[in-house]
This record gives sequence, structure tokens and C-alpha cells, in this order.
Amino acid sequence: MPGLSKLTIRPAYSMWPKYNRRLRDVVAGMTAEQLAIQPSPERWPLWATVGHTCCQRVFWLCDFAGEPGAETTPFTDAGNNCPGDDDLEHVLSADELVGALDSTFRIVEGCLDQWSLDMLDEEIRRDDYGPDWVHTRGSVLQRVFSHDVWHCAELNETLKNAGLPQIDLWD
Amino acid sequence: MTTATIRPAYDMWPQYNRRMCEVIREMSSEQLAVRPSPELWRLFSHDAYHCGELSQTLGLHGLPQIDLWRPD
Repeated sequence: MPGLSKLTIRPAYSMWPKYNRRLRDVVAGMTAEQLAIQPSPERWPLWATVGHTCCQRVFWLCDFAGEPGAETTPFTDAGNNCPGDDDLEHVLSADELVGALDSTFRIVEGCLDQWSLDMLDEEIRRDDYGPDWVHTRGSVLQRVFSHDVWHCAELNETLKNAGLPQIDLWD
Repeated sequence: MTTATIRPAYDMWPQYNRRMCEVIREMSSEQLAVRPSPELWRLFSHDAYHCGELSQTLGLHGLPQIDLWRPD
């Protein structure tokens, strides 16, 4: 039997798949008009926030940390072309966003099943990005997880104000 | 048997908490009253969730948001 440090990290993030499902379920039920709602005129529409959340999974886990699978997602150039950050022109539909949530979460699942506690302290360097691009594998994963949750909360504020169903992470 | 703990899975949590405190410390009572007092201190995801919720409101009011991920 492996020691704790050799076990995969899935138990530490056991609720993440549920959070992703809850986000996916809400997005799946939204109309194009609802996805176009902006919290304020200068802030991204909801479709862009969801797309950005998915795209950042790919950027950090694939582009930065080297996980495979970016080509299985809509975000094959996540460092330069993410919804919201780089692109507010190509509006994403609910179906496209659900597909993006599914395909990008498969990359997360790969990390949860293949990364061990030992691996979380490993430093990953991307000198081609710049001298400051040094992060531990653990900090990358925590960043992606907290980023997902952070944007779920942001989405919920707008959904609540619009009288729409919210993403219930806690039930 | 090993003595390893799961700290590496959550070792950014203290930093996230510090960032949240930094922003809250700078807020006036009027700014804090924009929404009901935040309930911040339960779980990792709960913390991050409320950071996002707070940041949405802060941003809408032109106030600095909680940037959990900025480099130190």
C-alpha cells in the first residue's frame, strides 16, 4: 500500500467534480440572452466569464504545467486567445460552454488522478514566459481550483440580480 | 507509513487569506456595508467563493478587487 505522499490528490479535491457539474448544469439551462447579461456595462458578459474560467484551466494546467489535452478543448492557444481576456467578439453558446466545461474538466480529472502529494512541491519553470514564471505544481492546482470557485461566486452575484438560478456549490 | 500531511494541497490558502485581509482592512465601514458582512472563514472553497463574490461587488463599486493570484 502506498504511503500518503504517493497517493493521488483526488481525495483533497473530492468536491471539485461536483462543483464543475453544478456550474455546468446552470450554464446548460441558460439562453443566449441570459448568457449575454453583463453585471455592469464595463464588465464581461456571463458567457465570457464561463469561457475564461475554462480557458484558464487549459492555460495553467496544459500550457504552463505541461498536462496533455489542450487540443481536446476549444482553447488551443490559451495563452493568447481566451474568452473575455482576449476575445469578446466570438460569443459562446450554452452548448459550446458546456462542451468547454466538459473538455477542460477532463484535464483537471487527469491531474487529480495522476498527481501525488509528493508532486505538489515540484517547481515548474517557464523561462520562455519570463523569469517570474516559477510556481509549484500545488500552487498551480490551487490557483485553478480557487479560480473556478471565485468565478462561480462572481457569476452567482449576476445570476441572483437577474433572478436566475444560481450555482449551488454547497447543497 | 508516512508522516506527510495534505498541506501541499492547500498551501496557498494562507496567502489567499492574507490577500482577503489586505483588501478588507482598507475598506471603510460604508464600503463593508455594501453587502452583508462577509462570512469568510470556513473552507478553502468557501473562502475563494466569497472572494469572488466580494470582488464582483468591489468591482461594481470601483473599488480594488481581491487578487488572489498576483505574484508576490
